[in-house]
Amino acid sequence: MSTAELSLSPRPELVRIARMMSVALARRGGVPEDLLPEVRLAVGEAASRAVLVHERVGSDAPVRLTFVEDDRGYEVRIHDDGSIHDVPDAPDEGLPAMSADDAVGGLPPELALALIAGMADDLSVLPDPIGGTLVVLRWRR
Amino acid sequence: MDLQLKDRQEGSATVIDVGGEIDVYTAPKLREKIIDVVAAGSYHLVVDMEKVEFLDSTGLGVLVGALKRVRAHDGSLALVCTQDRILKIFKITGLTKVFPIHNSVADALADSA
Repeated sequence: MSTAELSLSPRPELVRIARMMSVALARRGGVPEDLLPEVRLAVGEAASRAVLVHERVGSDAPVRLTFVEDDRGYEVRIHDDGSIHDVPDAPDEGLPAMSADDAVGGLPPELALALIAGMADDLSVLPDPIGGTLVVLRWRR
Repeated sequence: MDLQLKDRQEGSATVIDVGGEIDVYTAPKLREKIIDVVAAGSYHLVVDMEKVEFLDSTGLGVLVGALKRVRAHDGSLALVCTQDRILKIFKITGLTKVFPIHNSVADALADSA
């Protein structure tokens, strides 16, 4: 098993670093090349979501990512300081109102989690025992 | 790579060429560009995403917001995209039912004409 950790100030311009690191470690851990874009998107979504949650709850503390590679596969845990019920603000001011619009009636209320669920083999959103919330993504071997 | 944005007039439509990465950091720049174009009186938009290397949910949110803006003026918004990994994002979120997605700018313009 090997692990790596990344601690990022909750700033949007730093989310890209989480994406780059997630792909580098996934590649090293043997995740197939054709799955790397999905890893990049899912981890980017989870990191953005965490940054937006910190913005919402007014936390300047870093967003923490832990990358674990073992014989079962590749796992990324993203910690944020929000409660499990904290949902980040919609990415555009049009979104909440649009959900009632017929044109986008099927739009999931939490677009980021919907996308992550579509990209990772497993997705869990759990209360972190040390406080805050853990979003856990897994790609099975 | 950062976001690149260019716009040009094609008949009654405005084509916005987008390149690079659309994420939580760069999506506000795309939103500002669209707000500027709509404020200048262009309500029929074609967003060419062929050079987009990365798109996340904040980018989708901006596109949905843009659609809302142009529809308020009886306008339209079409996308140009043939990249499988970007199309997959629209499929997962159900947005293929919301946006007309074309294979080329010419197709998008012909459809909006």
